[in-house]
Amino acid sequence: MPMLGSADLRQAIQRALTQEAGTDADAKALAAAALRVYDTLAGQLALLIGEGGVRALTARSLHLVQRDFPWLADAQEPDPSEGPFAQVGFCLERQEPAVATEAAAAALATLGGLLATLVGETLTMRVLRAAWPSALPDEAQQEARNR
Amino acid sequence: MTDKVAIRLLPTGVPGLDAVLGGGVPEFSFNLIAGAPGSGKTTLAQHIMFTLAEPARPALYFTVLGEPPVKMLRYQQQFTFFDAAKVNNSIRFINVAQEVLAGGLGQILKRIVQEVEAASPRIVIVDSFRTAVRMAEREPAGPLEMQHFVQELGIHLTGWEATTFLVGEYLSAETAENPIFTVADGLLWLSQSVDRNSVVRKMQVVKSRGQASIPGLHTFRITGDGIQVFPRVIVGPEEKPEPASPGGRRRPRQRVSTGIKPLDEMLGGGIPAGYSALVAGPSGSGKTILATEFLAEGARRGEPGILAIFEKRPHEYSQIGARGRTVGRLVADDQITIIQSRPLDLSIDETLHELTTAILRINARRLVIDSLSGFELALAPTFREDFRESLYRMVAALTGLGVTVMMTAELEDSYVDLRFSPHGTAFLTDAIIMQRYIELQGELKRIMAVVKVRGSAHRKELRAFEITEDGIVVGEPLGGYVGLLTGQPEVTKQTKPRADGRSRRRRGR
Repeated sequence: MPMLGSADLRQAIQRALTQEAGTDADAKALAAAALRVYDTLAGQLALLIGEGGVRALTARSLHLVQRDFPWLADAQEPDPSEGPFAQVGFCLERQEPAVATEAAAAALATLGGLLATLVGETLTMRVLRAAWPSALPDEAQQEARNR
Repeated sequence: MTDKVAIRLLPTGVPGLDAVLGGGVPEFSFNLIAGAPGSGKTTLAQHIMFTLAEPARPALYFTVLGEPPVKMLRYQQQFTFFDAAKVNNSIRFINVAQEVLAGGLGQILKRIVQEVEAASPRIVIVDSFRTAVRMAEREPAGPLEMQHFVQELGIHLTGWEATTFLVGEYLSAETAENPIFTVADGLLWLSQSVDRNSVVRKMQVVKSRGQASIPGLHTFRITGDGIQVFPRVIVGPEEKPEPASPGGRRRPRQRVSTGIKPLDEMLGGGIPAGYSALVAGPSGSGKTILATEFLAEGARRGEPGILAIFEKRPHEYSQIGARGRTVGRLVADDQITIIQSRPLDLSIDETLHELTTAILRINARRLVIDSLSGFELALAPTFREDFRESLYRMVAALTGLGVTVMMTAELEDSYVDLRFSPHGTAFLTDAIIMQRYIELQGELKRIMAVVKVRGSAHRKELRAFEITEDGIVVGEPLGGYVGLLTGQPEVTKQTKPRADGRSRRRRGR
């Protein structure tokens, strides 16, 4: 099971992004995929903590991930109606595909880690699995897959 | 044959709550959990939900505006009842804050109905419902729209076979003219009673359609395991009939030995089984020693006992002398169970719950409460005010279990009046043993007398006693004096008694 905040989780998210964008996707396709992957998680999260909660956690995650990827702050003035992750897409489009994938995965993994800090790892993993079942199969699914 | 509908009661899983509710929560009922902020509403709702929710009985928990859901999840998962494995499995949390902001009551109702129809939950919780009420209050047709909303919600959720709990912040003055109170089948009111620097949580079933709930205010605690309710014990008029023999004639009640043979004789053969006895006397007169002798005697006879201490510490009972060592051994052998309660916010019902649990666990036949003064101090101030009434309920409930209860009460020695307990609690007990200090021929002596044994003959004599390494040694009746209770007796002209009143060692077993 990928641990939150660990390299495993980032890798799992990277797989989800690649799966969503398709192989050999360019940065633009990757940015769009990252937005879709985020939206799926945001939808699940909003049920649990409301849209206000999702917005606050996303903003904090982006603030944290900008330490490793400062260019994520280079976005134009974000449109409040598009939500905080929209500017990430704008920034990802301007990067090499590999770097864009890495940064998007880091941002989403940071969001997962932040959620775990607040509501615990067990609950967080349940939400992440509900959002990305193929990237984060639970133990029963994993076992069935290995058979 | 009856064609009445059978209402199934769902066990809430909250200790003590089912008893208060009259058996549980009626299935498909529409309930309101109300109270001021911090009174434990959300914790109670979630404790019930996590107990009831299972794959065959899914639950939906709607969070409206109020406590931010992240915080609610963060704090609620500290309770042992919070099972994260149930989240997104048998329990789904759904935040409807967006609907609140976008469209008001109509939108909230639409969303709840939509989610309920999609998931067919058996348990539905709306927290906090008060947000919806506040919205209605701001609208022109507020009260009417609110009534419509509540009725629609009630009809829909019951129609979809859901047992519903609305959680709302209300103050007790708000009950009048509120449609929710009319529509609800059950209304649980939670409150915090503040008295000086103590806080006591209380719960009341204000309404319980079709259920015989226990009236009154019930205390409850919130611990790491969630909510624990201590149902208010209600006792009927005290009756202690002698057990009837097969021939219809009353058999004399069995007697319980105190462990001190002369005292048993003074009591008319021991304390009648199932009676409450008060040992009253000044500090150091030997009340605790007598009480521990009573428990040790029980242990010798195979009758487990409980020592409920509110004053001293457990080691103080087992450190001094042969008697202390005996108590220590009996505690180690589980023949005596010590219950120590020293918080200053206890309720009588909580104490009674603890004692009853211990009595049933070890099948105790004897119980000592040492002392009433310490017990009164351990109670929250709000309960001290009606200490007599509370003590009456507790003693009646304990003796109702067939346990013989001995209570100690410290009294200041007074030689101008004769009292047996503070606050006039002596009348609550079935038997009274009085201890006093007197001056006898220039020495301070302890004397003992049996003041009362309800429904039984007993001796009225005053007897000197000593506390020795082996326990209490009672002397002969002090018949040769007058004015013993004044503290300064005089020798009567006809007799010349021994100064210690002893004629022989009186610790027969």
